[in-house]
Amino acid sequence: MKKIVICIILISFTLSCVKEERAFDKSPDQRLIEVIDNYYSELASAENGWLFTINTKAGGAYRVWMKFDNNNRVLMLSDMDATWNTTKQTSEEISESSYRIKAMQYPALIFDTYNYIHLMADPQGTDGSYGNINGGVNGSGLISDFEFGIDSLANGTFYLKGRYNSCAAIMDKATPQEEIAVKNGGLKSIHNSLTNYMNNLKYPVIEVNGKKIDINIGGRETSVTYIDDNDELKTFKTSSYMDFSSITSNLPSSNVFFFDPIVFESTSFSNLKIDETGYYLMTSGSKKYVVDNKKPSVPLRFGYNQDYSQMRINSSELSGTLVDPFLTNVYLAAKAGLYSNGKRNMQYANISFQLHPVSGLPVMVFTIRYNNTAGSNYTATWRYQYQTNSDGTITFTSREQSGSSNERGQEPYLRPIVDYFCKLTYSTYSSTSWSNSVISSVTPVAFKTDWVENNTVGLVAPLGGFFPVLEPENICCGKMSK
Amino acid sequence: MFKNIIHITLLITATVFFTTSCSKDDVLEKGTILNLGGEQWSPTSVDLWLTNNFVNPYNIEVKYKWDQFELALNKTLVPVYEDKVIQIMEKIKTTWIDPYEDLAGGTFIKKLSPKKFVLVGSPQYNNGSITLGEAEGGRKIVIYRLNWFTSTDKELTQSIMKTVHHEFGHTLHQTILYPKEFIYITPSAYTSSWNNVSDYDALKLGFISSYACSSPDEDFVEMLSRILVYGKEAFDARVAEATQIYNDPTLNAGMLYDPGLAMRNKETILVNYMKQVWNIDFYDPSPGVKGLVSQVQEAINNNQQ
Repeated sequence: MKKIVICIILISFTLSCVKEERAFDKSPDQRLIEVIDNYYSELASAENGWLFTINTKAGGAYRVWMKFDNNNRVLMLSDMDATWNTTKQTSEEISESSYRIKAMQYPALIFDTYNYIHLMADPQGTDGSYGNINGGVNGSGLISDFEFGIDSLANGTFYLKGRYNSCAAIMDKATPQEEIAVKNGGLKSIHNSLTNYMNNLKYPVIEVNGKKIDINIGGRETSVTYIDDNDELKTFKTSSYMDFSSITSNLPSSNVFFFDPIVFESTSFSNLKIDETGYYLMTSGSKKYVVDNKKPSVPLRFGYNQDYSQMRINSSELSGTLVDPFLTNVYLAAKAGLYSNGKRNMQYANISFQLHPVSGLPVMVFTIRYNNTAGSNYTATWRYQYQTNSDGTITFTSREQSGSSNERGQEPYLRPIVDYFCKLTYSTYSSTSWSNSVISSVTPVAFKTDWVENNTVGLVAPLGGFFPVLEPENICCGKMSK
Repeated sequence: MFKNIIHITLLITATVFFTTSCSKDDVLEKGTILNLGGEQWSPTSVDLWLTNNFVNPYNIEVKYKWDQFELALNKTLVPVYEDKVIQIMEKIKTTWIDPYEDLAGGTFIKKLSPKKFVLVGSPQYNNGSITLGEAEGGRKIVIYRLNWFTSTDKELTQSIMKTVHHEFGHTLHQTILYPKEFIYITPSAYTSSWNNVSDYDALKLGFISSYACSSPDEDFVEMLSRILVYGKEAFDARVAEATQIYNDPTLNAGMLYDPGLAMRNKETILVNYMKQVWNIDFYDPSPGVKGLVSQVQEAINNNQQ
């Protein structure tokens, strides 16, 4: 009995070695070959080519139209010449080169001989004698890629990631209309349409959650600026690119898409569509358009060490914006007064918040630049003490001459403008020495500061103004700078 | 009887066990290992030309298609224009391979030439300088900034060919070293901060270029490559200028030796080395017979290609 059991056990050993089943029915190499062949077929199958968009790290988004065949050849057109002086007209001259797909840690699409896709990645950014290929820093160019790991192919769209700089890239099949548009220089003309459209909006703003934010829509990069809850000026940038709707749908400009969604409070948007009225966002079922606010929507912060600390007032640069009563009663009156003294010509006035050289306290430095009939230039400079009030207004409490003969001599002729900020009357006025002048009264003047609507044709600049609290229409305005 | 049955059963069991239990895996199918023979692509006329002019005659691979693994992994570089490849390699053939082959014989290039050329489109930027070319153990030469190349640009051709001859010079002396007397001609002037030495200072120290100051090896190959590519007249002019400065009391302060003579001494060692080690006439050995320098100069000046 025991022996039969032993026999049975021994016989069962012969049946116990079972062939292991494979996890896959093909080898890893076979499967890789299939994946790669599949990618080659997919690339060549797009009859109208592909639209390749790459998010470079130093230049924003670039678009390249590509047509692949089954023999490692690729044709390209790119939008580089829309914003850079390239050797070839990249949006018009089709250029051919080679490509291959290689199995590395993941399948990679390699553009292995030079073409338009390499222009952004070329480290020769600014090399004078042999060409400024892309204007980037020598050694890194626009921080781009031309060798891409294929992350995925989903719904006919390739999602790629650069191997060297990890730049994100997307490839979508082009439609027949898009191919026609591209072959007619469309990659460049969509940029031109956007630039022309935005030129008419001096201060583009859009209302999001009831707040106005400044938005600057670009063909490669879009930015928004706003003041956050901590009262800080915030700018958010994302690479952006356009489709061909300005051509295929006959709109003033094209829809814009962002690589990273713009997030503002609880709202995030990943594109801006356009209709005949303009660019818009859909919020709560209604369209909010990008409009011209004529002045920035963020509050003006003007003063010592603020966002802006200088203002340039030159009536010939501000036609339409610098208006009466200030223009005639203050600016032109001072200019005429100065002219009456030996035909001296007042060129402009400049306001700058700086530290007083002796006291170390912030003061407003007011400068008039003028020239004599021989053409020699002079400046006359005053300093105004001021205080900032709790309601945000500023009061100029007194003024002094800064010590040169220019202001001593010209102040009597420039009274309308120097008195505008803070009025002094003298019992004795000395044109030889400030210390010999005796001031009989000081009338401080309080002002609000704010942006001013830019009504000057052809002028692109932030314009700010002083609004006297007691005379709000008597506005002193000019070009703001840091 | 019963015992026999047991034994027979055990024997049968063991036999069956050993013959069936471990079955062989399938034999690996041939031809399905990806890229086993090297990467593949549809060959073009460029590939055909390279096969006929470099691979078959000299067993030299010319890698013009991008492969980051041939290059520094932390440098931003780009591939070369495809339609410049043949022009570039044609130039390299006529200004480097042909003269050496003519003077040293057919197997010389086959034995000593680098087996791989890697062509790169852009310069390689380093801190404050660009790399023009690199050689790796005589096996591989990388040439940069080839996207600048046009066959009629003599200056650029000279610059590129200087790189090729320079790197090949390293192969020569790494195979058989030059006489060590070479090192003792201007021994104290070698320095690792060669890029702070102006060309004028290098001249006064007895060097053919600033880069030559970096080490005796570089000095040797700079002598070789510059005379080949820029010609003997240019070298003679440099030697004459150096001696002139040495003899000029207003300019020769601090100079301890005649740099022109130093360069002549280096030249002599170079010429002797080429003849004695490789049986190559550096200069013309007799009227009407062209030495290495003449042949290279002729090829460089022939701009029609």
